[in-house]
Amino acid sequence: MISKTIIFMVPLLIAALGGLFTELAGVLNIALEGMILSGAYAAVIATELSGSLTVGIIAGMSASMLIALLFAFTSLHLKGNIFVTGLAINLLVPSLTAMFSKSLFGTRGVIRLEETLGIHNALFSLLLLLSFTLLAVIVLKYTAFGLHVKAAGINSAFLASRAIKPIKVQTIAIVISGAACGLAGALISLRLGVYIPGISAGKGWIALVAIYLGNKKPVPILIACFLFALAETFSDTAQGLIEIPATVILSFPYFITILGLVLYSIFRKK
Amino acid sequence: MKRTNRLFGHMAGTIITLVAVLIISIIFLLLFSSDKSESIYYFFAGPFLNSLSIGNMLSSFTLLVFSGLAITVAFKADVFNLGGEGQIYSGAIAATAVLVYLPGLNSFSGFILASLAAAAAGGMMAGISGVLKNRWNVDELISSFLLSNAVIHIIDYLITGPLWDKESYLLTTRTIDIRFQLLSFLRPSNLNSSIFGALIAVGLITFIFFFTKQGYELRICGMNREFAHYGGLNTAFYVTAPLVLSGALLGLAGSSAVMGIHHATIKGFYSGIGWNGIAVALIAGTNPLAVIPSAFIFAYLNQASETAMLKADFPFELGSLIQAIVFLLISSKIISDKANGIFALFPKKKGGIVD
Repeated sequence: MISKTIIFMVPLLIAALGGLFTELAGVLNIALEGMILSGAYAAVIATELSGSLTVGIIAGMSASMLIALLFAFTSLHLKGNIFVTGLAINLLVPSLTAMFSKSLFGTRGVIRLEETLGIHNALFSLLLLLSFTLLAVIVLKYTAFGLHVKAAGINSAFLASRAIKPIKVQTIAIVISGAACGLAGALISLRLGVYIPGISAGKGWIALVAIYLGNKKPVPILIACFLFALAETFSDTAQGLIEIPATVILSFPYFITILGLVLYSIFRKK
Repeated sequence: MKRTNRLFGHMAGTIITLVAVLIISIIFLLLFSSDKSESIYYFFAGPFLNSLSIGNMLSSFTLLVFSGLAITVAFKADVFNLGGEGQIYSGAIAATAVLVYLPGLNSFSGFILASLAAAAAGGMMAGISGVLKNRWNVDELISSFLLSNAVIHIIDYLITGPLWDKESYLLTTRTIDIRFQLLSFLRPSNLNSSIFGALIAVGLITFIFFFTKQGYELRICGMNREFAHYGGLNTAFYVTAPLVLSGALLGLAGSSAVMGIHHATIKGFYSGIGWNGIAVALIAGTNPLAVIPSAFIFAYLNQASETAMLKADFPFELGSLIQAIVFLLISSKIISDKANGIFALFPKKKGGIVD
């Protein structure tokens, strides 16, 4: 059970840590969901075409970074409302994937792979979790860039006074979140060896709430992600034990996320 | 002082966005369709070619007026309602449940009760987000979205499980009795008498906004909540009330689709109404009357991409792509400033820079 939870946790944590950069840089990033989906899709397509999982992962990350650039361009450079443009990304990706599927494979739905990425090892997953968290801590705490990111969120005028363009820092933060979400998406789809429309299943939103619940710090985010993954494992296991219809179980992540959001708000008030 | 709006920029920016959308649509048509000239012809002329497409366009116009108006109400009070899809869906299932399972209704009482149930279902769902916002300061834009997605899965379950019509080959509930079905026009298109309901709703909301005390207070809250608070207004009320009203209108979109078009709740029928409502509202600014032309533009674009898809073998729904592009560009301040610059070159001309 715990090992299953840890395996479920990996993509969620990676996406949340990526989103942490944008959150700290003062960018409300609701596009996480769309970026994860683009990563999941591109990874499967590239693996299918090249036959190499490594190429798949790289493609997933690059596709998601491209989407992130589009998000950064429209929200920061064209000064769009960050929320509306984020929504746009979440709507754009499913329609783009449907379009590519249709013209590449003549299908608009499921794409299956021969091989799958063998992350069924809990120990390896745990290692991944810890190293990514450590990486985030180091970058945010001990590098100049990490400080710039935090400064962009707290007081961008200060950054500007140091001749550092806040918009540039925020753009880089968005691209980092894109890379992380691409990786997260690639891990989701390659582990299952299949792309299904909507495969991200609210992970981007859960990651966003995990960032809030974790109070925008890497280690508490790790714990928040563990709780969400545990809930996911529970609902996954419950499916076999009690008679709960599968479609109802699909609603659990959203209810749990709302609950998490409410709890966060209550605790923050105290 | 120049009248600017926090979110939506000016008319000029909207026009530039729409032009960009048209250009991008044409590029996609040229890139992906097998017969290019044919698909462009059907894209532009398709919606007006026969009474079937005109009727279907007006039918989707009806639903978009409801959903666009709903989102406009929320925007006017400066709150967000992202739960459109779930609220439409719950409105539809509530109306269907009333009409299918409640005995002894005649066509009038059935219509009234079903509409009330739909409005209540949608309004309650949106209202929860308002309560969460007031009570615990939970961001309504996230909570409304999450709640809607959760409820969608539960309604999916109801449709495919307990309420499933076993005689149908579709994933749908049982059909409502013929006496509850709205008048249809331009058969076999989807157009029906709920189009009048949608237009009446626009009139009512305009009246509430501009001719009632509550509407005035709602607008003050939307412009500056802090100012409204110091002025002694109950600002918490004007978070929940606009959300409830918004949800109720989306519920009505659902019930009008049930009574007018599908005569049952079909699994996933809400797609393309919920999010498009936001796009319609963004184009309309926060003006309820502007919802009418804005919904028409979207209904046209939807129908255009549909005819291009059917008649000219265009490979995918352009509609959702158009929607995404609108969202990407519509709120841009740079575009609206640039656009104003362009329109300012003709200073004597009226129009263009009107908010």
